[in-house]
Amino acid sequence: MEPLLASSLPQKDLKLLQCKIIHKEWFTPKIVRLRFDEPHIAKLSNPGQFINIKVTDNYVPLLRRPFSIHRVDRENGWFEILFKVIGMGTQALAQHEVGARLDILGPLGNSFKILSQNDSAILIAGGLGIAPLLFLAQELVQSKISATLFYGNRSKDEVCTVKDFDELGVAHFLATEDGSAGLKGRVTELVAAKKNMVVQSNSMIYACGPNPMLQRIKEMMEKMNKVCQVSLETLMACGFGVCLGCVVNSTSASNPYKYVCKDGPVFYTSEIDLRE
Amino acid sequence: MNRLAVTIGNLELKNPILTASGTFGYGEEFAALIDLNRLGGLVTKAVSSEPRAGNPLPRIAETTCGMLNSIGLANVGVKNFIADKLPFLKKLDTRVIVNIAGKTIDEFASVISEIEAAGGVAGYELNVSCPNVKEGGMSFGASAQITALVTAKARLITKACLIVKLSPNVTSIGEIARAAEAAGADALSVMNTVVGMAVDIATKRPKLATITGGLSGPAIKPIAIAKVFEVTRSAKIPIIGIGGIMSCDDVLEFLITGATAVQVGTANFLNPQISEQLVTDLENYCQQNNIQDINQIIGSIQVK
Ligand SMILES: Cc1cc2nc3c(=O)[nH]c(=O)nc-3n(C[C@H](O)[C@H](O)[C@H](O)COP(=O)(O)OP(=O)(O)OC[C@H]3O[C@@H](n4cnc5c(N)ncnc54)[C@H](O)[C@@H]3O)c2cc1C
Ligand SMILES: Cc1cc2nc3c(=O)[nH]c(=O)nc-3n(C[C@H](O)[C@H](O)[C@H](O)COP(=O)(O)O)c2cc1C
Repeated sequence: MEPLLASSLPQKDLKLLQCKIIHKEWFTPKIVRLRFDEPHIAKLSNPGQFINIKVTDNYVPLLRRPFSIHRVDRENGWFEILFKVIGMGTQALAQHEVGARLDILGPLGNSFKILSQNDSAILIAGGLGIAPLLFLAQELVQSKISATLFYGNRSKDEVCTVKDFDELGVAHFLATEDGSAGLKGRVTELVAAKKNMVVQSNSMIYACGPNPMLQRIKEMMEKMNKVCQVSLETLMACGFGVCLGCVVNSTSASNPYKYVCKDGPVFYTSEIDLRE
Repeated sequence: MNRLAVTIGNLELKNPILTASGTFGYGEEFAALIDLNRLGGLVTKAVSSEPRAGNPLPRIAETTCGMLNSIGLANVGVKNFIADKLPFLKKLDTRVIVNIAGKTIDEFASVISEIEAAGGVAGYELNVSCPNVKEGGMSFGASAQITALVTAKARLITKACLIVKLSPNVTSIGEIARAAEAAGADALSVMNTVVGMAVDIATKRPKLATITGGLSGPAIKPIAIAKVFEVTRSAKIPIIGIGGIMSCDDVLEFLITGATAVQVGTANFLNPQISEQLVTDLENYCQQNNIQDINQIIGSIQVK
């Protein structure tokens, strides 16, 4: 039987850091990108990994907030996060200005697997699911794997960072629910419309977004016989495998749960069951 | 002389700062972040005889100055604990206390027996008080009689420090404390989490799959202080104070109320270096206030 809590080994590069904000960029009144001066994370992290931030220096909110590493500059020693203000913690985080130092734990979690047998990659993002995919695109380009982005949002003004994908040479296709940019509909419908592209190429599929979207992508990719990796989000307390709070249902009969912070956040869709 | 040294039963601790079960893994998770050997001791995640997968999701929810959990004692089981976790713990120069969970009195006993055979631990903390696992409608810690039976049976098996962890979710914590003491416990951990509940107003569903869970964090500290105080009036064995400790002031508050040592729980999630920091802070406090022996503070509460 496979052990229930297998991979609880300490993460060797894990550090508690005080990171200075060196750049802040608003995309919409709710979506913001923060850049931190921090060579440790810039140099040692891999796409898919995340950090856990103490967003205030009091107990409100009490717990840290996890965010994917969005982009790194290994040479200049900075990394970025991209997030949306949805509640108390992200609200507090968005109020910090350039020059502020934040208490950051990282890098945490596993990372997207980039395999040499794949000559191309398809990236599928729903909303803020775009965040970890820019870092992934950076690494894919480094590894000479050509990437294409399918990116869905509610409307045109929420579409962000595509310029950075363009600069990396990653082609993109958009979908918006209100039809204000690209295909009118959800990103899953965009993927269905571009099915030929997905099926024909020898590509790895990478996806990030809300769970219902990822479950749909999982079902679609299974039908197309494509291997797919997804990056998951759950509520989380510690971020490094101690509290055992961040569970997701697994597909293994002997091991009913996986822990997003240490078994993930990246999983092959065959490992997990995201149905409600 | 080490002015922070305290004694719990037959156990000498280099300082009164321990880490609480379920918030510190099996120690090794923190090895990259702190010097574990500076701690007075650490308490492991619960260990049961078989591996346990734990409760369905969602298992945690945040509340004002606190968090609810219903982890359900997910753990590797005693065999994996001995094979994979104990070798690391044995190498540490700190007191290792294993938190024991069981569905039956016999399960508590058999887990302790297996660990005794492997050796290398300083004590056991009997978790008769987890609010998240109820067996056959019987919640162990709610009954003085069953607490006494579990404790007495464990006492027959081990000479190591035997600590009984009490629940606040009972009619009289003092009565249960007395029962554990009479049955041979060396010390009492006060307290486990407080039963709590939160509801999502959008979905109208409870925020935890198990509906209720255990509240921890700064929100529960006043409850824990009151329970420590109550237990000092009922039992004479040392008390380990637990509940919402975030700062050195909080540690002092527990010691003054009558706890001989403390455990730091939820605070480890916010600041994984807090336990070691508290040792430093307590040292500094004693130095600045010219306290030669921390035992001078313990139980120094003034009640008219
Ligand atoms: C590994 C990981 C990586 C992440 N990366 C990013 C990222 O790059 N960018 C980004 O914007 N967000 C990311 N998130 C989500 C982010 O952590 C949450 O948005 C944030 O914690 C919300 O905090 P809050 O206090 O603002 O909201 P809260 O006040 O805690 O919650 C507001 C509402 O949102 C819901 N909610 C909170 N967190 C989540 C979640 N994770 N999934 C679904 N619903 C949730 C709550 O139930 C509540 O209804 C990531 C999460 C994880 C686990
Ligand atoms: C996520 C989590 C898991 C826990 N698991 C256990 C456990 O396995 N055994 C146990 O005796 N107590 C467990 N506890 C209770 C703590 O050890 C402690 O008694 C409680 O959290 C109160 O202290 P705090 O407010 O400092 O966290 C757990 C608490 C939390 C938050």
